[in-house]
Amino acid sequence: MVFSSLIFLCIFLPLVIVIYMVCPAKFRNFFLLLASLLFYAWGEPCYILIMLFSTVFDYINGRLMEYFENKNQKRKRKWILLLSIVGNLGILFFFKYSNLLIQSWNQLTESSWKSLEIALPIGISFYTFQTMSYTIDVYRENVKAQRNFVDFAMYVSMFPQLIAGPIVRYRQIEDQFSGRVLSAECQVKGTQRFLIGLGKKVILANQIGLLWDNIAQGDFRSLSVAGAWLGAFAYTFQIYFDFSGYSDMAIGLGQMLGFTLPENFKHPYCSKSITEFWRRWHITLGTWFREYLYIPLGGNRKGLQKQIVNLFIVWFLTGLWHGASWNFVLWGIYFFVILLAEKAFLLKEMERWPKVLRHIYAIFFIVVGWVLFAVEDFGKMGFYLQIMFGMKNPIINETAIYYLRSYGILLVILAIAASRLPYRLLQKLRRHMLRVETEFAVKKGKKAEFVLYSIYTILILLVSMGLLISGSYNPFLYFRF
Amino acid sequence: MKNYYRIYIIAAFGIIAFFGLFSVLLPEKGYSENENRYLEQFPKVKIKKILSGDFQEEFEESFSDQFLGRDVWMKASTTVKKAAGFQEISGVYLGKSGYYITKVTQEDIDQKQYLQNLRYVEYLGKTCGGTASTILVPSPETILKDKVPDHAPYYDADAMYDEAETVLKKAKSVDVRPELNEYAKQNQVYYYTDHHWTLLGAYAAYSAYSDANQMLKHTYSYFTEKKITENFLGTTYSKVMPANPKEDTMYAATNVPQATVLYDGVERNNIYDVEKLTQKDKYGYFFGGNYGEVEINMKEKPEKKLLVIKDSYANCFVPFLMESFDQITMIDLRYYKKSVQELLRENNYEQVLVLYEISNFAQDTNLYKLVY
Repeated sequence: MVFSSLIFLCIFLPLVIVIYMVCPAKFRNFFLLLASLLFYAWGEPCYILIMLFSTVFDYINGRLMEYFENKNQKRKRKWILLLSIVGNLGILFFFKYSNLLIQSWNQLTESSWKSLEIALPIGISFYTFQTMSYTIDVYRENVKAQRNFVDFAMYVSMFPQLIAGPIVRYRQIEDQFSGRVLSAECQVKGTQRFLIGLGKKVILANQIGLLWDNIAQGDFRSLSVAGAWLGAFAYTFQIYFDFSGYSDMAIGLGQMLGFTLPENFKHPYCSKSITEFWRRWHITLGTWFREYLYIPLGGNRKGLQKQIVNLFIVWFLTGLWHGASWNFVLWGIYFFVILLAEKAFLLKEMERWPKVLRHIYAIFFIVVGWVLFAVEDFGKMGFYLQIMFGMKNPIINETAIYYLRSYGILLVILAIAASRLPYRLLQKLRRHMLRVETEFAVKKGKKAEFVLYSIYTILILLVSMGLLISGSYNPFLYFRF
Repeated sequence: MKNYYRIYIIAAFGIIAFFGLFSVLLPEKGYSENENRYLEQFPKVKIKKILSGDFQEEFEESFSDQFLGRDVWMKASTTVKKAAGFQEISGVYLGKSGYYITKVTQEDIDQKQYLQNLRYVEYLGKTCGGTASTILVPSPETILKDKVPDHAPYYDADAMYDEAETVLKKAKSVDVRPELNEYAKQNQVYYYTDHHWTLLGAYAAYSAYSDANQMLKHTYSYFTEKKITENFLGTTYSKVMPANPKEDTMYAATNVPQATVLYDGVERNNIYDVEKLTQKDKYGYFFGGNYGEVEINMKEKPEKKLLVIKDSYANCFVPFLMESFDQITMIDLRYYKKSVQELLRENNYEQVLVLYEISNFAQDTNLYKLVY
């Protein structure tokens, strides 16, 4: 099931929230586990077994590590950790990458091994990373092994973050397994956050996604420079609003259920360097790689040469994590190169640049990056880039003008929504209110703000429902992740 | 503040739960007049279907189709999209002066298929024994260039007509564009909310066809048009579902000879189907929609025969020709199961006409049947 579906919105969600509310606190985790399993099984009735296996496997691994810890058998603990990592990555590799390996092998050696007939289980990249964060942290003694199987299974399968993140490390959520408070305020804030996310996905991402889809499916030969850039920007907006919309929905759902999930996006397109971009984009993935790969590899503590190698490994794998195709790896390495350049000299150099220029620089490399990400076929990708840089087709043509006319308003809305402008305006308004008004008026103002925001989010809900019912374009972008 | 919170939660969850509940509980709807299609029904629970995921997929589709107030939701969403400046919805251009025009781009046209289809028609022309001609009806955009949104991409019709000209020697292509352009200056030749041409549009083609074949030609007024409905909302309307569409007025030619008509072998006395006027797809009034074979007999022992290989554009066109022939047989290759060549051998057709809307023709994969 996905959040941006009518069935989730109008049946699953209200049902789960109502039962959850009336459920006695001690049974809530169990209920949430059942609900999550139903959520996953709805779309993946068979592959749920893989997730269940993964859960049981790492639950046992955790317990075993605890057992050997108590017996002071350090070597055995290490073996268990290794088993857990090999097991998790093995599953991930088998289901996600074996066909890529077979195809690449075939191309290299001109042999013709048959591809395996396996589909990628949804969310596998997310939940294997989550369970790994658990066993590694148990090994490092950052957390105690979880004895309650229901709590652990609930953590792995929790439906808000199950299929598209954020990647919640076990450590971050451990203390929320019991004693969660369900306040009215949390529920309201959670609902509002969810609706904002829904709007980002259904109203913004899906609609502009249609433009990218049109261009990507079309004949590149009839594309103009302007058209190619329009397409690249369309995808840039689509992936951001889609992905951050999902994260907002997840965080909001978590809040409704009394959880605090980590933030995943912080205005990434406002960045003034690629380094900054990656601190603001898909934060939980970046943190995961730093915590469980970069730092264990030695990070920057073992000399420059080792650091460069480490960075390369991290970015190679970050790219590969996004999908079983070499273009994702290219995308990762592309950022490795830029980040290295920034570390070496660019960041220092840029300090002297005007803000606008730094901003343009960052956006440029981000947008070009998304082309590498979005166009899988290397031949087509190269062709598309050549068009973007004016090496092939005319600057502008009728189709590009038509698209600009069709999507112009939406593009302006997207640009504003991706910026910090709305937030800043709100802040300004609030400050203004505080300065001039009495305390009584401030209270009133807060109420007015709440009412307005409520109406706004309900409107978003209604428009989203309309778009979902009318069967508008509604893709799921993370089936590759 | 607490009260405010409560109201908000009740409002938000009330809306989603209300629609969720009643969409499932209310009796299922079968056919959607507005969308001109059968709605998906809730599937029966079967373990096998659940395990394969088919049940879930069907359930989601039916849930969307059976959603409470579906039409209103769709119209609202169209209104929002229009306000956001969108120029097309579900593959239909939101044209000017109330026109909804199907979007057909160069990439939608399979050039190979088109050429192949032309060759099949030419083969028919060579083997039919009579005079053969082809009318490739222009897409609305070709005639109503100023009605599609500015700069909107469209396929290159001129090139396609040129190609038809070169390939079709025996089954000569009758170019109806000049006549249609002429009539379009003053009158409506295509419907606002449907992909078909109007009666007048069809008459323009009749006029060109008669001239090309040196046949006796009547004036439009001779056929005595009759207004059959004032609120026709067609296929492009169904795709877009705009809130305030310009409803179409539909006319039919009444001064046509009496005829007995065989619809796939079943005899009926009328070329028009009044029943269809109570339904949404009122264009079905002409010959009751699409049949594999429709045989129209003006005389008991027909001598002057016409065979029409066609799509639905012919349905309002053919009545104009009834006076000129003793028998007209219409064949829709999508549904025709018998051998065309055998039909040609059994009948001594004086004329054979292939009539398709050109982008339909280019995409049709049934024309190979002409050879067998």
